[in-house]
Amino acid sequence: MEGVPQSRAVINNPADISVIVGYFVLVICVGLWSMCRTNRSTIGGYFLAGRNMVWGPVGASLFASNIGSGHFVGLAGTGAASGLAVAGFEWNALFVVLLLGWLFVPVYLTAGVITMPQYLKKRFGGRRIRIYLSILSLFLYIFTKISVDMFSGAVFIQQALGWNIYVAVIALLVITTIYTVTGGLAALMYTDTVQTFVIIGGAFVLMGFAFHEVGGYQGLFDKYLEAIPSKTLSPAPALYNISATCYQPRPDAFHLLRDPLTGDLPWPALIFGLTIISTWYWCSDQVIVQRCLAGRSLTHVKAGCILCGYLKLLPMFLMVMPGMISRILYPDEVACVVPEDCKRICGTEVGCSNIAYPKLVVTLMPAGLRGLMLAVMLAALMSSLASIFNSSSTLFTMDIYNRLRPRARSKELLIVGRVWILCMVAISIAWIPVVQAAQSGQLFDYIQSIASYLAPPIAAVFFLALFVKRVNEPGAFWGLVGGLLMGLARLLPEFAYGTGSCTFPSACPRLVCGVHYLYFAIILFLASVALVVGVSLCTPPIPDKHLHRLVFSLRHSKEERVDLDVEEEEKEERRRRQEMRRQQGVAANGAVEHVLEVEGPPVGQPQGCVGRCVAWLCSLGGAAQQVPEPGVDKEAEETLPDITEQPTWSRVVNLNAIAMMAVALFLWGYYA
Amino acid sequence: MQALQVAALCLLMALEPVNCQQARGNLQPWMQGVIAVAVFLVLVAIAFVVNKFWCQEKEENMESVVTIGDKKEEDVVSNGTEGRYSITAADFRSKETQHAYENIIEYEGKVITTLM
Repeated sequence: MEGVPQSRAVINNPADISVIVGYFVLVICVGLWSMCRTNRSTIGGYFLAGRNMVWGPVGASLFASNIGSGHFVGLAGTGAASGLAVAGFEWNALFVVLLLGWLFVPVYLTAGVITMPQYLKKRFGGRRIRIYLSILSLFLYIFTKISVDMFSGAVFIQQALGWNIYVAVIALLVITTIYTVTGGLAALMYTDTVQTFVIIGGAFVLMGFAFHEVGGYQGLFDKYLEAIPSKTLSPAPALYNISATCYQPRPDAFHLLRDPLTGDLPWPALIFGLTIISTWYWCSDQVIVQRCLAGRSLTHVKAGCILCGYLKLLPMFLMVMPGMISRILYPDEVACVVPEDCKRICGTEVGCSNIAYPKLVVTLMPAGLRGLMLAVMLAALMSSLASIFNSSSTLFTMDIYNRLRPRARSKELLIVGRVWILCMVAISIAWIPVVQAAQSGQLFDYIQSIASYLAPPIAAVFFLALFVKRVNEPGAFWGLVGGLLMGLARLLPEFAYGTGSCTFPSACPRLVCGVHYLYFAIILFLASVALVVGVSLCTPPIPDKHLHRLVFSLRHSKEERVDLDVEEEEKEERRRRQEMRRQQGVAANGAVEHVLEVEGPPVGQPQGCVGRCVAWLCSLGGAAQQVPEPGVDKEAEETLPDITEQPTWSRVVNLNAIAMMAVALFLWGYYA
Repeated sequence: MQALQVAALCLLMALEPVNCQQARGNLQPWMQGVIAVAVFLVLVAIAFVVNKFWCQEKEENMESVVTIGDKKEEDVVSNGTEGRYSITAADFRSKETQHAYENIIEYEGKVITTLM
């Protein structure tokens, strides 16, 4: 990014700065307030916000943890490059979020699980699936979520502030980390609600300015097809030529549904293939499901899903259309096509459509509001990063660390979770150069293509685990492994050859890379399903007594469940008891030093005021905080989770869901 | 639902048509939307009706199971008012053997009795 001039510092007036500072004070206040309100020293309190959220915060935090700065940069950028169709990514999720609330969450609630791998372990038994899935999820977080968020945040800050990217990102991460490590999920959920309002408000204001500038809604549709950069001739015709399709807007730019063979987002792929990816993202992913599990009751969760669905209608108007307007207003920069020009404008040769939204903010917004928009972007970045850090810390602590050290105490688990967040921050900072180098033209395509190659087997296994009783452990495991191998067979060549750009197409053979990535997702999903079902039918089924309240058809069952993992737990319990007995024996024999070493002070009392403050923030000190053992939650597990709903409210929620689908279908039809 | 359609239609009539945005075929964009919503609502109605009939059938089955005598909790019935006897042979064929029959009692729901 050295080629970018440093004279773009536009946030230097008092109005902008005061807005940003005020915003940060607000967020910190909400975080502290919610910290005081909830008990965060227990596992349930820290990770699930006490399971007491009403539908408003659930829906808002679902939306907020989904929308990151990646959406602002990616949706607007792809909108600028190829038109409306990218909004289909958002509008497809409307339906999948209902699947989440109506089919998936009831089972997760009755199963009484905290993480998704934990669910699979209860459903199938054995430990290999759980470990496999935890590691794959952490991998996906780093490559599709954290890196993308960091990259898009960096693009925005670079356009707005002219800062050195590393300084900006590290500062942001430090703030986010402090906020996550100290706050827990409760603070996250309350601040998410505030941030969602800030995001929507700021983006609405910008949308108003953008439409005003371009001459209204009609102006957008009149002028978009003429948005062509002034320089379209290759400076070195001997080396390469630039074909007209690279700089002209697509003729089908105003359609969501595009030709199944020649379109850039063919409609069968957008409807069926994307549903598979969305099922993985919304229904089996920790970040999202954890929000739902914190709901007060199933009705609240469903209502939250509907609210999130309505909010998901907005990105088309708040991001995609402003991105297209940005191309109309600044065709030379946003739609640049000559590699040398692009390099000068945004630091990469393949195209600058990713700067569409930041460019709009920097040039259109008046002072003060520009500060608000920066605050919005910081909010989106911090919120989604914090969500990811929080969830991956849950995943790491509960599934991987707890496996390595089964005897770890609860306090140790809390500390390890926070240390893991710090590690992820370090990995992310180290990843920035890679992300900068790997920036291709279309950020959103990058995310979705990686997800298409890795996620369909996971979606298939979760889908079958919930709805088909016959599926068993070997089937699920070999389905996951086979699916991963098939996915890698496409992923690795594509990364080796590179995806190329319009001017310089990739050399990847058509047989390997020619199939659209969403079509590939469909193929991979079907292959995984066939593999899982085939292997399951060849191996003995799991008896019903292990499956009560773990599959959809048995969700109302009141029978006692014999957990498949209960034997392992008993073995651990026995080992723990033996250990304790041994220690007591040693104490009785008077080996004082050894006892001191074993029991010791749990955590050394920190010295000095600052030390004590930090300890309080991390809830390590203080006498009132009783940290339970992980096993103590069993009492809670023994009372059957309640998923019965009041008939009246259940009907209200169902009717609302139908209304939401009707609205969504109208919009799909309108922009088809 | 009908009101929703009408409301959506009125709203769209009030809006200015967008010229450059062409729909597929000869339909206006809003018309496509209305068609999509109408098809969806018809499907929902069909699903609702099918579900309702299916569920009712299931409830009837459950009642007949109860009648045959698998009831765990005995109802309080005064002597002589236990209802009427079943007529069809299939209903009172004994479970133990094909050639024995039982006297099946069908309780009538609204018989008010006292414990004495």
